[in-house]
Amino acid sequence: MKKLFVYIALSLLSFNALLASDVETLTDSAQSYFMQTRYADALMLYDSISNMGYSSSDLYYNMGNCCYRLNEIPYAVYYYEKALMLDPSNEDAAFNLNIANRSLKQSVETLPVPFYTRWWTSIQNAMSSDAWTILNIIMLALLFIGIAMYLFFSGMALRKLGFSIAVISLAVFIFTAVCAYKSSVEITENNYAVVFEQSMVKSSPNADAVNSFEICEGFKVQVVDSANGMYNIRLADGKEGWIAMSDVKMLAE
Amino acid sequence: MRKFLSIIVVLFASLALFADGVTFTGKAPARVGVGQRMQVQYTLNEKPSSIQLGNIPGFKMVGGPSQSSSSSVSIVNGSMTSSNTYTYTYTLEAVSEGTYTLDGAVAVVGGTKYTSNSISVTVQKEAVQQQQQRQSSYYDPFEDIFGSGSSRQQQQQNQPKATVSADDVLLRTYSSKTNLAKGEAAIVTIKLYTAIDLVSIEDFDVPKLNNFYVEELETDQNLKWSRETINGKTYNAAVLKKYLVFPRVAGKAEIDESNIKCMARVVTGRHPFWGYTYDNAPVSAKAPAVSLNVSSLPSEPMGFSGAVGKFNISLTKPNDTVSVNEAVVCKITISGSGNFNTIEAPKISCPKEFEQYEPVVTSKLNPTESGLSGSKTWEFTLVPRYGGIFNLGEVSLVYYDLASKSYKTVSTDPIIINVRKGSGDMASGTIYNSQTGVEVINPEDVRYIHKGNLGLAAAYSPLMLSGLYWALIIGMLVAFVVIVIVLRKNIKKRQDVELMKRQKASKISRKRLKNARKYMQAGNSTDFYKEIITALWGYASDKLSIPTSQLTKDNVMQAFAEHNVDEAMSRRFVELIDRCEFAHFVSGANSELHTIYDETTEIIEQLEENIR
Repeated sequence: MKKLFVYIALSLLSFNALLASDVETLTDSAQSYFMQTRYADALMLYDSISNMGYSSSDLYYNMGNCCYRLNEIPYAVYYYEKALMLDPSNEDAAFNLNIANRSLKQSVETLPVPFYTRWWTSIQNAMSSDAWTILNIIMLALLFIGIAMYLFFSGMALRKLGFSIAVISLAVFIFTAVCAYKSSVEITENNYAVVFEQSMVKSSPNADAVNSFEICEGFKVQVVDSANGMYNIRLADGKEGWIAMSDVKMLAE
Repeated sequence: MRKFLSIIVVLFASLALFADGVTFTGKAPARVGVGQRMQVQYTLNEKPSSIQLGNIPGFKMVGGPSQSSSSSVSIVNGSMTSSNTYTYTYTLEAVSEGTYTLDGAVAVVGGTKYTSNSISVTVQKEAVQQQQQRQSSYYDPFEDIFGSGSSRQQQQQNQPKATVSADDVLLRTYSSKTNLAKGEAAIVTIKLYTAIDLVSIEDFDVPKLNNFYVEELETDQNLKWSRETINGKTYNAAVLKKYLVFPRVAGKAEIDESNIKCMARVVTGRHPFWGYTYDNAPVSAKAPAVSLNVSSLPSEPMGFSGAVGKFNISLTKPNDTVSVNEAVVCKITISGSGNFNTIEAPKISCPKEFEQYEPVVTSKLNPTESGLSGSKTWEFTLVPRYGGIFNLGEVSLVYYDLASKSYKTVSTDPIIINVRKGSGDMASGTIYNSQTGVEVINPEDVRYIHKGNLGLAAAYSPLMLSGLYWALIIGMLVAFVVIVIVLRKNIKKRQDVELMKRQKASKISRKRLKNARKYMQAGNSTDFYKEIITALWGYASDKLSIPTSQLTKDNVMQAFAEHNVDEAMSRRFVELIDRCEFAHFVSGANSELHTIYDETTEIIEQLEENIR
């Protein structure tokens, strides 16, 4: 049993060791470019890190900052959204996204959501999905410890304590499992996209269809369906329509 | 009238006897033109019985004598004095040129003949127009238009003229200063000069004062005239308008020309009987433009908005401590003298925790010839949206002091507002509003990039959905199960100990009860109670698996309840222990031993049945 843990720990460490070699130099030089206000160069290096298959919330956050400085607001929005997708608790990304959104030509009013949804979303976004998962594992361990205390100790107080630990950690275990699962699914099955081309949103998946409304670049939209080379998108205010796939970029891409 | 006169004559005839003499004087104009008529008056203080003109060479009598008389009586300190005047007027017409002497007239008073003085009159060729000099220098030609005519006879004292020359009516613009600084006050006066009779002002164009801030000073409703001499010619002069002006720009500032149109009284001819005939003729005059040299101020410091003069600033704040969402009214007053019109509203540097409204401005200004003085007040309303103590800083005004020729800054006390946190709901709602409002106004910059380790992961997928998570979960589960299996004997052992004790509980207690019975029969109450108490506590401990260290009445009651023993029974059990402990320490009451023993056996039996 112990061996298993050691193995897992070792494999995690070696992962980081591999990372450290060349990627670290890339991040360092990107950072120094950014400090020298050579934003385009910094962005290029960050992009190359991303192309090597690495990703993190902070990486996308930094890329968003580069784009913002280069005045590529739709790209800034895109990367901030990506950073938030990986870690909804990335407060700086949320802050900068808000500013980037304000520089857009249009703004969309978000539909009012019931208070319990709002609460749930804010709780779920308080931590990244991995943080939820780690908390979840800790809770399971606590649950087992509690049960063991109840089973093996003969003292009344200790047994009671064990029982309480078990009950509480079971409840938190279930809660964190739900949170971790939901936020994990939001990453893997993310269906949001950012518009990169100011275009007309059609009423049906057909280039000749009636124009429903105009949408400007930098908008975050939800993709609910696709057909005929077009996405069925939904705006935050509930408007729906069809837009060419080439005009938008999925966050999960 | 005649009757009245005769009464007076009768009344005073006797008095006349006391008069010390008769005066008889004649009066006539000194000059007269040929063909003109003149009146010669002879005045007596006694009524004459007859009067006769003397020799009048060069004149012929055309009328007279017309008679008039007057009398006056005055009583001073009890003594009465009276005087009578009898006037006889003759109208004479001058016949030929020359200087003539009118011989004295002869009057008979009370039988005595009196002769008046002789009068010398010069007869000239042209008509005599005015024989009397102006009596006062004060004269108002507009009495008819503006005033309530005090002395009509003075009205025609300007020489009536047939024609009006260009310099008879003048209009002039004066400035009290020709060289002045930007924002410095000057007085502009527009004066009207006239050498002829003016009837009315028809039209008056006030000058345009485009480069100035203008305050009109009050002038008298009725024009006040005074004698002034310009270019050797004497005029009646009056101030028409008076302005207090502040130049707005440096350089040459012009006061434009102004025009006036009046009606003047001119002579059109002469009537043989009534003298001159007059008519109204339009007259116009123009005041030339006046230009002022305005010097610019020395290099303007920060925050200078053009105030020139001498100012003071003060702050009035009624309440220092307010609640959230309660308005604070800050009054900022600028007082002093100078160009108030250029002073802009003072700025309160309001933190975003406050909502600021447009100030309400009230000004109390008093333009006089010495400048524009008074005060201007701005009333700011601030509504705090958050609690805390805020220092809004001081409000200051930079002005150019003309006396010392330098810029000066005056400031208020700092505005400090203590905001108490208000009640929750209302506050939070508005806080939300004000926050979004502020954000829109001040878009802040984005935050800086994250430095150092970015927590990069290759081919990231959420931990929850990765194999590692499930490996950990299953690993822990397996480990737990293994541990339980390995240590299951321990659990069993613990459970066995409890079971054993429980089973033995009644047996042990029975043994104790047997001992107690022995003590009861021996009459040893101390040991009896000790044995009973031990039996009861021991039973509870074993039966309910409560360790001796935690053996309290409360715990026992609770444990009974957990084993579904009804409350009445568990209370009886605890009360029994109480009674035994009490009796044990008091150590009397042997009679109770039996009942205690019986009750103890009974309750243990009952409990044994209930706890299974």
